Amino acid sequence: MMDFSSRPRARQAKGDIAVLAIAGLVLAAATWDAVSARREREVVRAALAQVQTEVASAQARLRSLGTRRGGDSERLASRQELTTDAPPPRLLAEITALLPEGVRLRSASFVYGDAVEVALDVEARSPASWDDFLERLSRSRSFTSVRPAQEQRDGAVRSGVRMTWSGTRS
Amino acid sequence: MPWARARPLVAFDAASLSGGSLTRGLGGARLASAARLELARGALVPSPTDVNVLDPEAVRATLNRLLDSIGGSRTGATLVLPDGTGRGVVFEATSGIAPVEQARFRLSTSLPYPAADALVDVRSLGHGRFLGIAIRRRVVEGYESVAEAAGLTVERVDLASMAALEGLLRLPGRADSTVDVILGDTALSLAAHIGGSLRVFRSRLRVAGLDETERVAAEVLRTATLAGDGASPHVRVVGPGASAMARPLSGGGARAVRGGGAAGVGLPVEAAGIPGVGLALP
Repeated sequence: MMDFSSRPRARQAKGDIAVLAIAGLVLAAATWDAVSARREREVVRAALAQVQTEVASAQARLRSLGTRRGGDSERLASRQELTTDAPPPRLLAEITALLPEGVRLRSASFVYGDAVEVALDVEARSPASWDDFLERLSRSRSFTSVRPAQEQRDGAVRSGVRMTWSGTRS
Repeated sequence: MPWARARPLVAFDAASLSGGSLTRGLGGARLASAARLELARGALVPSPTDVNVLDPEAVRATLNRLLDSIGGSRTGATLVLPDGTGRGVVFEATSGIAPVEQARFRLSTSLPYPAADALVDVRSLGHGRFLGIAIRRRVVEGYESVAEAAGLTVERVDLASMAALEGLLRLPGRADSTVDVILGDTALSLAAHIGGSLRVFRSRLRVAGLDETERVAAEVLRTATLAGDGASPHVRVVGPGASAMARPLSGGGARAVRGGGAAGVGLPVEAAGIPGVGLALP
C-alpha cells in the first residue's frame, strides 16, 4: 500500500520484518548454542574432574617414586659418606690395632651400605688369643654386632667374624 | 478475531465524506462500521495543484460527525484522498536507482508543479515494473490539517484510485485486455491490464453531462489501445455511480461489469459508498 503522508512515520517495511525474522532466528540459534554450550560445559567438567583425578593419582605415584628415588639417593649419599668417613685403610688399621699377639688376619672385606659390614677371616695361634681378639672387638667402640663364625680348632683356631662398623667418626 | 484496535479510515471527495472502522485479525482486515455523509457544496474541491479543503470548518464538522457515527479510535487513521489529486505512471525500473526516484523523474515532466513539491510513492507490479504516483505536498497537508483538527492522528495517506486498484489487482487476472474505470466525484482513473499485468494508468477529470458515458467509453478504448490491445476490452467499473455507468458502457460495445463493490466482498451495504475502500480490503 502506498503512503503519501507529509510526515511519514517509520513504516514496518518488509525489510524490517525480514530483519526481525532474521533476528528471531539468530536469537533461536543463540539460545540453542547456549543450551549446547551448557551441556558441553557439563561434559567438559566431568572430563576435567576425571583428568584431575588421574593427575592426582599420577602425582601420588610420582611422589611415591620420588620417595623411593630419594631413599636410593640417601643410601647412595650414606654410602659415599661412609666411604669418606671409614675408608677401608682406616678400618683395616683399626682392626689391625685390635689384633692381639698370635692372631693373624687372613682376609678382610668391607660392604658399604646403610652401614659398613665387615667380614674377617682370622687365624689364631691359640684359643686364648682368639678369645682375646673377640673380646677386644666387643669392647671396641668402633664395631658392633660382632658375630663369630664357626671355629676350626686343630691346635690353632681358624675362624671368621662379621661385624658392623659403629660409625664412630675419627 | 481482531488482534489490534479498530483504526479509522476516512475517504474525502467533493460531494461527500465516507469512512469506516477497520480491524485487522487473522482473517485479514475487516470493516467493522461504515458511514457516508454529504459535504457542503464547494467545501472541498479536488485538485492536483492547490489546497483542496476550501472550507476547513465545514469539512472538520462533517468529519467529526462521521467519526462519531463510525465510532472507535481516532488514532492510526488512514486518509484516502480523492481521485484527481494525483498523477501516475507505469514504468520499467532500471537497476541501481531507487524506483521512487525514477518515478519522480518520469512524472516530473507531466506535473503541473515543481517535482520537488511532490510526495511520490511506488507500487511494485512485478517483473521490475512499478506504478508511481505523485501528489503535491500542500494538497496532502491540507487534508492532514483538517483531519488533525478533528482529533485524528494520521498514520497513512492513500489515494482513492490506488486503494481501489489494490483490490482490483487481487482479483483473478484475465488473459485478455481489461480496463478498470475507477470513479471519483470529480475525476476518474483508468487502469489497463493485459494478461493480468497492469500496463497503463491514467487519470481524467469528470465532466458531468449527457455524453459523459460516451467520453468515458472513448477513454476506455484509448487506454486499452495505449496498453497494446484496444479491441473490445473487458471493462470493470468501480466507485460511486458505477452501476449507472456500467450499463451504458456495456451497451456501447465494451463488456462492462460492475467490478467489486461492497456486496461483492461481503462488506456492510454502506461500504459501497466508500470510494475504492471496499476493493482495498482482502
